[in-house]
Amino acid sequence: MGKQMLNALARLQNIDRRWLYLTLALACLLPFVVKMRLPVYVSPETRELFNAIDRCPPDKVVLVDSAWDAGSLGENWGQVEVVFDHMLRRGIKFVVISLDITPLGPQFADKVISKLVASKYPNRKYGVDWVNLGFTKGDWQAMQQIAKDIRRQYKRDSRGWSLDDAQHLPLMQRVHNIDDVYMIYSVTYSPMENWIPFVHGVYGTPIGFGCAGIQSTTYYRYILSRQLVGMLVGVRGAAEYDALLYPDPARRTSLGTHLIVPQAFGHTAIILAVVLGNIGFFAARRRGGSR
Amino acid sequence: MSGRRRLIAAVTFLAGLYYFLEFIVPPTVPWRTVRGEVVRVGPKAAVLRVGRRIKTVPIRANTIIYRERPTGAPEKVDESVLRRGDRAVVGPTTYLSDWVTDVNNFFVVLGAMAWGMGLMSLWMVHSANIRKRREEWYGSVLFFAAVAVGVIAGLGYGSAGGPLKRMNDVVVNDVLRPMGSTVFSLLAFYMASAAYRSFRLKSREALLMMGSAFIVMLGQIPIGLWLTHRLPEPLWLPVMSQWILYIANSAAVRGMWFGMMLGAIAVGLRFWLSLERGAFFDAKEL
Repeated sequence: MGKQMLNALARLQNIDRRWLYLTLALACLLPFVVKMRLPVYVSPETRELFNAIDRCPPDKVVLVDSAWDAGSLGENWGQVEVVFDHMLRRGIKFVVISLDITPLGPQFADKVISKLVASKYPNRKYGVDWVNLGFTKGDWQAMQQIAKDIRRQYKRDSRGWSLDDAQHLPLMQRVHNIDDVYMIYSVTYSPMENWIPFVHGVYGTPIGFGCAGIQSTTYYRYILSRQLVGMLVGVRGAAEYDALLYPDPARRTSLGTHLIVPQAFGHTAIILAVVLGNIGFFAARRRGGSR
Repeated sequence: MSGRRRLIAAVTFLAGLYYFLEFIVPPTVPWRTVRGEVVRVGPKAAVLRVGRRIKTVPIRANTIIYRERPTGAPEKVDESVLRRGDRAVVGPTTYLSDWVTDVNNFFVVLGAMAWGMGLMSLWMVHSANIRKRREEWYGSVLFFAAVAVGVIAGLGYGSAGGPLKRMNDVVVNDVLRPMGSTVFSLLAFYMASAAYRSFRLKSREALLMMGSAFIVMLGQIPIGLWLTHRLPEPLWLPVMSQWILYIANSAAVRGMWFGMMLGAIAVGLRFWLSLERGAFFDAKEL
């Protein structure tokens, strides 16, 4: 290979970072301009979570710990959206809490639910089909209290109604402790592992997680040991769940489905940048000198 | 050792001791506890079937009753709740578990107070900035304005309508949401730049790492499936990615966590016994 060619290739390891930023931004923006769909592979952890929620008996509720806000909205919004969609469609009752991480959690959960109710499920009613209990402090201590008697931790819901108010919160009249909860689904950037020893370990309640992609690597071991029933991993998990919920791609409208294509292009741009950097590195080494 | 330090060390030790003892000491006195199937219960005694024998256990002021849930987890109940056929544990209390709710509440309240203390600390720092006209003191004015707007907007959460509700929507939807997402999304650019600059194939280990990173990254996105869907299924990138995440990654994470937890036990002991150096009081006493 000629020296000029090696020199040109060697420059690939020193591309100005602003070009990288621009390429990444364009790669992520492109799918918003040119609409496209790509096939989705449904991973076992998503399928297991879907099946677990689908098996919820009519006399129980799903407890959703939705403790995320704008920072991880890109990944967590889609993860709660598809699960709420599933439960509202099947008539599975659910109780939303927001444990320990962000006081904005209940508000973001409300936004997701109200959007779904307004667009797809106008007959579902607050207090009857779901309740949002709001934010609370306390790590495993709060989990213990909720498991033993939910009223020890929450006297009122996020709107200020007493949990014993049968007129506004009829759903809560049959939810007292962990015996009334079929499973717990915890969604945040990095869900609290204490759900596993303090609730699953003591009461056997199935636990599911929705987490940021980067955090997921620490949770796979719990799926292998059956301490987690399933998990949604980042945008991918939300898109996969949406694919299970709506086999017809034209009916998929969740944020996860919308974001998986920009994410795919973003990942590809990063991989290409690393490959180019290494081509430059080897060209420089062959030419002599690392720079 | 200052008085405050002694107090904190004592409270830390007692709190740790309580949770340790509560974990290892049974909730009822073991040699006076009866576990069995409920035959009948009255206000003064419970009759339990233990194997083939029938035992009558007196119910006194210090007696506690646990009903076993289907999972075997104990649930503290009054005698009036017990029904024939329930599995129950009846015995005199060791008192430790009776306090767990109060101690848990104390912890939850402390956690909430920490947020208030954080706000007070910010108040002190920023009000001093304004009083002493320190450099960029106007940033502190903005801080107070932002807190005031946030508190007022928070009052609108849950309202059906009205100006507070509109203010809440503006603060959450139009300010916090785009700002939070923007700050977080900057990570993608830094990560892309860092990966480009530092990920070089300088050794076999780096090759292994890059190979698995590419498989996992492509396996996470539909392009991975699109690239390999004509190959046999075990060679699909998402399938290979799953193998790496479930098997190789889980093994490594488990090993790491064993090490980390051993370290955490050592650090926990040091905190419990207030042996940790370099803490707030050490700095003050220097």
